[in-house]
Amino acid sequence: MAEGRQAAARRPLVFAAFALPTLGWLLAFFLVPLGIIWLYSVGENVSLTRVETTWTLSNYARILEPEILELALRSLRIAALATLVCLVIGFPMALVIATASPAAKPWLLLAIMLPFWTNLLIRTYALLNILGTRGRLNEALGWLHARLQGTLELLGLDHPGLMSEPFRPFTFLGTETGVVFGIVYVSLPFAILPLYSALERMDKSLLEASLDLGAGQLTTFRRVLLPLAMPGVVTAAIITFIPALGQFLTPDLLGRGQVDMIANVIERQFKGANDWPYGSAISMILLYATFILLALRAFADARRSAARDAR
Amino acid sequence: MKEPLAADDPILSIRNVSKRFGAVSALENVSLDVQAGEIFALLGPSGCGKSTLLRIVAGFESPTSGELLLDGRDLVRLPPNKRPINMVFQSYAVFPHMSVARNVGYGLQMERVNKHEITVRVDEALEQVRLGGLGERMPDQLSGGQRQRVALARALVKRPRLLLLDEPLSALDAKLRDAMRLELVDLQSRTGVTFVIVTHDQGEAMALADRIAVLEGGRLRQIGSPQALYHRPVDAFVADFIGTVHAFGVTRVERIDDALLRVQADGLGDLVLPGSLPPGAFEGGRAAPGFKVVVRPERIGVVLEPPGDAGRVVVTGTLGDIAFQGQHSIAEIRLASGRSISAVIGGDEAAAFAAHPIGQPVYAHWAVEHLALLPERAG
Amino acid sequence: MTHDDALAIAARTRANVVNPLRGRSRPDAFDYSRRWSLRTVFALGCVFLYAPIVVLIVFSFNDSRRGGNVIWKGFTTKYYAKAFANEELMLAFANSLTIALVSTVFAVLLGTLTAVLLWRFRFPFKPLVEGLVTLPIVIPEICLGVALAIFFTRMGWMDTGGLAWPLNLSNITIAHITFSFPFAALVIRTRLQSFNVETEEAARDLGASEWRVFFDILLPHMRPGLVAAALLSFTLSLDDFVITFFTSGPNTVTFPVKIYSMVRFSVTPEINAASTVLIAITLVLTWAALRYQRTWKE
Repeated sequence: MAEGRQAAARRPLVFAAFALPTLGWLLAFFLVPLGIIWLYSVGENVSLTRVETTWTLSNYARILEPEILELALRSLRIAALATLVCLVIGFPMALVIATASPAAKPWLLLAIMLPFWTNLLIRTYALLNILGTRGRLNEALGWLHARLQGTLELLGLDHPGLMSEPFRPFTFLGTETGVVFGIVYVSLPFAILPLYSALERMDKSLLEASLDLGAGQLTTFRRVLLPLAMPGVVTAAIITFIPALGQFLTPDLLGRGQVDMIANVIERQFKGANDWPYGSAISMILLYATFILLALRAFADARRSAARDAR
Repeated sequence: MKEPLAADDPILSIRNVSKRFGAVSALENVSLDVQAGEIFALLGPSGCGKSTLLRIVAGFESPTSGELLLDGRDLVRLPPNKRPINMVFQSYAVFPHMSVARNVGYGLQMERVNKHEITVRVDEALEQVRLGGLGERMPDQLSGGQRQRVALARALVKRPRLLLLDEPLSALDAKLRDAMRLELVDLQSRTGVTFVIVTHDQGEAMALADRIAVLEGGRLRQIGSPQALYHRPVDAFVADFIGTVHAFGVTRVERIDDALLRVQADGLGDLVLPGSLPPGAFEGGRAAPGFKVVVRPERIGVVLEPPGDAGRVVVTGTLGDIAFQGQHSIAEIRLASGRSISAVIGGDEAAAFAAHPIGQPVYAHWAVEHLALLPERAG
Repeated sequence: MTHDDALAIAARTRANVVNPLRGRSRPDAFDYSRRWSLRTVFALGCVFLYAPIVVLIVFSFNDSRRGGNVIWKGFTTKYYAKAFANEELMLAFANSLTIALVSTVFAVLLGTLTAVLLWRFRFPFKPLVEGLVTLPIVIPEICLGVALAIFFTRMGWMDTGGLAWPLNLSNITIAHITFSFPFAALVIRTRLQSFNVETEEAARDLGASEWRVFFDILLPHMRPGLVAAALLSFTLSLDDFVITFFTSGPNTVTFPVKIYSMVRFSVTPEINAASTVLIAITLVLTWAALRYQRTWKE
């Protein structure tokens, strides 16, 4: 309400009082540092501590080496899988919250956000106990296995080869599965919010109209609910995928060095190998990917609203 | 107004339907029948339960108790998508992500009608609502009135047994309302589909419907044709809801003979009314609380000199504001008790009265036959 | 209360009131939250989210000496004592709290200026500035962490061993402010959007100057937003790992970095104990926020 009711030019001093601190801070502590990375990414190490910008593309070229390329592909794969799982689990959860009674809604939202308000390290560390070979997840699976075995025995269906062997615990730590699990764990609440937001704003009478016209629940979901919730789904996908791609801690702790992602390589350049230009270049690639995704989304949004205005 | 079709059995039978939301009762023991081929209106103030009843018929709510029969068969067990009933929602609920043609064809797709037939029927339906040729447009390119017609076409193309309309004219401005009203009546007579309309606007109901059910507080007050409701309201509530009345509290009712009553009313003194003792009034004088005598403003005349006619009810008052309404005007008369009543007067009369100042003593009069003795609420 | 009001309220709360098991009314078409299949999915999702944390808290009482604190060996509280006795850990904790406090103050300040800037004024390239302000929270954390690390090194600020407390935390604090203030601005701006301009005009009409209007009229309206923004910034700061990790110089110990090195070294219930304390603090803060919100709403 009453947004933007003052033209900046009319009160330049007041405007400056508000604008300078904000823009100044962003310039000094955001744009300049990013600029430095960008310069470094096209630079070289001339000494142990100095980097000179020589406008070389050699750092970027190194990314095309097969090892790094495979790592990049793995990162994309893991991030995409984690995003997918977050959407699949998150959508029904968001649906439940969006259609809950007004009294229950804030509590349900709190319930899913509370785990999110703990330190990332603590949350990831907690998974070590869950995903280990003698961890809680394997314990639960083993228990299920035993129950299943017992039931089959009871029914006289136990054959050698079919579930007759003792339970062999799965290895989660040090595998891609474990890392995906970890990323889903830390990202899920964050994916639910935009889904919830889109579903909450949906016009219920559209769903009723679909039922009224003879569609079943599943058809209504497929042909009316989902298409109309799609912008929310896309937003949720993007804000899950980007951080997932740049995950450092999860592959580090849960991957045990076997499942390095992009961010782990970057970290090595700065904390170990001291190859800052190379690390900067990889960081820039991540940034480019982020910007491309955001630009695509903005472009699609603009095209949709321009087409609407043009009619 | 055409007569409802002389069907033997009603197409829709609502029997003793009640609906409770927790402790609150939205509908109490409502029973009514809708005849095939008629336009039936559910009329009442907001919160009276009419929308709840409509949603129960459509299938989006289930009754707490009672029966619902369509063509004699139980409806309550059927989910909304299986009922041969379609609804035009108050917000029209046109699917924003589908074109007009796909919107209209959606219901036919659900019936697994083959593609060719869908195209034919959709085109037909669009022609019927005067949207022919607009099939490829998207809903956000249409005006509100056009979107309403898409919703109509979408429902009618399925040839439902019953079409439900939730406040179809409320969102339209006066001119559009008249035009749409005529279109709806025309559409109904061409298709022959039974319409059930929900509205809070009595003028709309009277103009559109063959029969009206007046609801208030979850209960059915009266059912009848617009004329029956207007001229023979069953209680003061209906009398005032359909059109306007001026009501005067009754303090005594006495039976003079089989056809005459002596009534004592606030501000009107003793009156002799034709009629018999209404149920609920006591013999021998003391009036049951809640009885009123009512008169419609168009029956009231205003004069400067006391009218000589016997047999007319006369009250004195002072002239108030005269509101110009075009064809006629409404004159306000302030009575000694402090309340005001209004009289409908013609253009010439209005001009004549306008020459007099506010506060000018005047006489309001009407025939005693135009007074009706009614309970506040029947039943 | 009229019948109409009662009906309206009843219709709104009906999902609360009707017991689904009584069979009297089946779930309405779109009461997804009342369908048992979806309720199960939600419950399982919550189990998924909470189980690891609950396990972590439980295992902080585990009497395990070595072997990764995965097998339960018995109940003890000695690791809490050990954690509190661990000087470096306590120092790290104090440092993280200090950083959170300081960064919150500045994040709210900066966030307020930004929110008012975007809410009040029209100026060329405004969409660009809006995008710019949200950028720090949209890009992957590691990029921001690395960029700031290089920046501080370039500035020669990284070696802060010589500086007295709390200045040695300044790098990390600056980093935290940078990624919190956009969130703070968002929250405050939302609150501003519900402001009724006419109250400001009424104040002007009665003779108030620009500054008086700001302090007497605008600021009080913003207050719930400011508090929400403060709590949000504090939590974000306390929860951060990646950016803290990169901007911590060799001489500064912060809580997440300390825990990280402890995990690398050996997994013991001491880590669980320290983590549980942090979780408890978060819970207390959340509870305080809820209490405040409730009194504000009234």
